[in-house]
Amino acid sequence: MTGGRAALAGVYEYPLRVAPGVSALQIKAESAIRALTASGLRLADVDALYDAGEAMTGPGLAMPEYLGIRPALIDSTAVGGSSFEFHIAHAVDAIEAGRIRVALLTYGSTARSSKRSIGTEARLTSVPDPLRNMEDPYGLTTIGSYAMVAKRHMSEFGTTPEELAEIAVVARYHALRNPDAVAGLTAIGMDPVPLAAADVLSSRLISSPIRRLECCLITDGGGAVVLVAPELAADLDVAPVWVLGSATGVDYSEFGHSVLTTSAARSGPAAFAQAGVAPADIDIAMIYDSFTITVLTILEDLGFCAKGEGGAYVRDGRLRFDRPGGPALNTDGGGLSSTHPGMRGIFLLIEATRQLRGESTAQVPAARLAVAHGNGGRLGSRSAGGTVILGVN
Amino acid sequence: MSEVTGRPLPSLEEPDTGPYWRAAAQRRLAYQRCTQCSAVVFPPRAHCASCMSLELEWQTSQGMGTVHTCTTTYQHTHPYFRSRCPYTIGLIDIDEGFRVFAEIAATDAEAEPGIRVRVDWEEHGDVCVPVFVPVPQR
Repeated sequence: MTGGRAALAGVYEYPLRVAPGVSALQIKAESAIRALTASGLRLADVDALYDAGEAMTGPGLAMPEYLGIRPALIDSTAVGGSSFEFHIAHAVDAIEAGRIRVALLTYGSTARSSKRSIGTEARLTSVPDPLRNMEDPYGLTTIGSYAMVAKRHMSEFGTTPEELAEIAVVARYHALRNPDAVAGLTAIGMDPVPLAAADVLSSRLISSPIRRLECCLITDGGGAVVLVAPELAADLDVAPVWVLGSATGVDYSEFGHSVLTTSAARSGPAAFAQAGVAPADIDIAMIYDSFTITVLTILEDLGFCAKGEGGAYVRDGRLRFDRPGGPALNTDGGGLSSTHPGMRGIFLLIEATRQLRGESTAQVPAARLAVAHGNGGRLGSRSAGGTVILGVN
Repeated sequence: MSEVTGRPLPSLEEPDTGPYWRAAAQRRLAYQRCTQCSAVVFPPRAHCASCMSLELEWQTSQGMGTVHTCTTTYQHTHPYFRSRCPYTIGLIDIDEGFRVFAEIAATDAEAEPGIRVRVDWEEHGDVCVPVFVPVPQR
């Protein structure tokens, strides 16, 4: 390809999964500085700031001051872990409209050091909104919501626990090649050893049918991504990674609408059509892996296989970086075995970029095309999804 | 350390959903229907998303439904729900055409997508919380 709608420039992943004494804001700022420096850009070049508000309330007002910039465009879209794919989609539109030239996305979280139990909290509200007023009496957890999707998938399509476990097995296989992931697993008290499906299936039930090793880690972490207008791409200190397509969507459970269909069923085809490529062309699939079922349903909705066939599709290590027959899945080790500080969407963009620059620790030779699909909220309840198609010449 | 609090109870005053819970206090499973296009509206709100009417009326369900999906929770940080583990929750497609999220009084082995359930009521003073119980398959 000769170019795209916008170019990813520098990206940076904060390496530590346990970072005591460091704040989420410090992680964001350090990541911003390092990603901009890698790009050959200055803080003052940033004219659009994207922030999901994970580190402070009212980020549209406070983040510019904290970073020390006065951007023309501020976007504080907050849709959980998919916020960063939404931010890319919005930034590409603003670049195409000629309104901005350098967009900065940052993320930082100390979920691990703050001892958050993200998956098993009820998150009750003191002033109820109508939706929560219907749900709070029953204590739905994040894991429970995704578990309802897994239960339905197994019941309707005969998907087996072994097939779902395969997604966690592949993630660990990739994580063990990633020194930051290995150090992170050790730091949070998990043995950095290969997983077999039997290990996953013998871990304890959290919310049936989801078991502990089908759940993402809870880590500290963060990162930054710089997106620039095409005319700046030639002057970067890094090889541009082009955004070829981007689209977003939301979804929620209601009568007559299966919990097995996610917003990826709309954002995926739209992004692929814009990019002019098909799932079969994709080398790298960075798919939000909060839980194994998240990956399975999104692979189906993106069109890698038909709805209901995800179980068969992921069998036999098909999605390992060193196997033919399918894209390489979550080659950094994923949220399941590398990092998940609460909102993983930015890491999907970062690892996809590393792959397309030949810099991954589970590198697919001559990787040209990647998809990053972020998922936010809770599948089974209400969720958002953003699909970004990336490519290099 | 492990003080067990009660079940979190809904607000009876929240503008959209207060009427649902006030009906529940009388052991009625209530839902809305659009007076213009007859669409079922749930969860409760003030408008019909199908025809944009602002004229909705309350109906009472027979309280029978089919489980769309469910899960049994084994680990929870909240003291009340932790004391209830393992307990089952799910999405129930009610026969009149709306989907309720609620507790299902069934074990992990009993609770499956497709089973039929009927509403029952758990009393908490001036409010009742719907809990669905399995009914024998015909």
